[in-house]
Amino acid sequence: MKALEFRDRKRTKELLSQIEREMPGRRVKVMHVCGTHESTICRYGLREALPENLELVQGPGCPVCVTPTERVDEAVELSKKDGVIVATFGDMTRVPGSSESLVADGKNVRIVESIEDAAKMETDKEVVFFGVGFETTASTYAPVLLEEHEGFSFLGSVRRIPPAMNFLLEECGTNVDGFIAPGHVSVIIGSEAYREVVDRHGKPVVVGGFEPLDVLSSVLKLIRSIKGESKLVNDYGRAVDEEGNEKAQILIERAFEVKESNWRGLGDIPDSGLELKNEENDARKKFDLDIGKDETRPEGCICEEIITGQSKPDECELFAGGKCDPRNPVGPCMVGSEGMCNVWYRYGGT
Amino acid sequence: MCLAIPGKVVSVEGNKAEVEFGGVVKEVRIDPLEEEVEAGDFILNHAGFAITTVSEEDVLKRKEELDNLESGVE
Ligand code: SF4
Repeated sequence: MKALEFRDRKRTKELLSQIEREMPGRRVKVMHVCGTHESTICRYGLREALPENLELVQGPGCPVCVTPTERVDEAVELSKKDGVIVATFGDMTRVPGSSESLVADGKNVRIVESIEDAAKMETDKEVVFFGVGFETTASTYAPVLLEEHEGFSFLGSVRRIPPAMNFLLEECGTNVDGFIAPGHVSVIIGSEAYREVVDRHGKPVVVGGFEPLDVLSSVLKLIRSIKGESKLVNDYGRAVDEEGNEKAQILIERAFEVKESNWRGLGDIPDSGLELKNEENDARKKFDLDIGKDETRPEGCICEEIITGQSKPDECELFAGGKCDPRNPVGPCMVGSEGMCNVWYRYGGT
Repeated sequence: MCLAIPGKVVSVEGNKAEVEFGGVVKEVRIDPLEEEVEAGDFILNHAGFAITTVSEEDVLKRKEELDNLESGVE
């Protein structure tokens, strides 16, 4: 759909000049919370083109990256059981667990494109779908999890974004001037879901789209809000409204319960997890998996600082030294297309 | 992961639709959608499910918005 491509070069230049003109006379740090935003930023060289005193960091916006090690280990353990197949999105098969990833053995692992493919897989084995994601993906899991499927269960690492943004500000002392909120999460939860970030923490939030002009427009609106009054702005009105997709929200509420959840790099965040309500379909209960928190971290990997917006990939020695790449990822940020290291690797960084 | 790709609805049957993405037609579930869709409508597809519709009118509105950003009007 060409009409949806907002990429005009002349307009890009004009917006960049406008941002330059409107920058306050100090450093500004902006966090976006989505790997797809990072892809647009890198693919179109926006970080380099934006003013030098404007820093753009990626927060915990990569569901693969924030999945804690113990969840990967649980999936690996399941894949070793007789009579079980672990089905998941391709990225998840390559995330390093404490000792190995799902592909290491791989015999009982299948890559699928959707949870429905997993639920309908023809096999006499039990299919466990290992599902990670934020609210966007939860809205695709919920309808299938509410259906009856024989020999099918769910190992989840499903999360809510706004509690993580609040947590960064409250508990981690994250020093940012404002956020660009993830557009497709916002399709589901609505722009008002970030109200607390703005009203309680005084940080402006602009809900942004994914075309290069969308990102620049969101940066400009954020700068205006940083200089003036902190505001919540919906800059992705063609897909997002204030309340979000209420039908999807109801499906999510019926399938999942809001609970505390452990995020890699952040720790336990209250009300940030979506746990399956139907315990009969919960692979963790069904197979009596009980792997406690695992603090194992790949040596030299700075994913945790990247997830919390304190560092960027080029500050990692393994990245700079060419010792970590998508074929042999050392940490989760190099694995999937939403991970900042992976994006920088593909588009040449910055 | 939260990548959502726009596609054009070709046909609808029950909770599924055939949707065209740059010449390739795929089956997409439409149960998360709040509104009914028909052939010709545009949706955003995420992991095999339509999560919202995008109307031509909203796209045109966005074009206009982007053209007028310097004025500071939101
Ligand atoms: S480049 Fe590799 S080792 Fe370095 S932070 Fe990224 S994932 Fe970790």
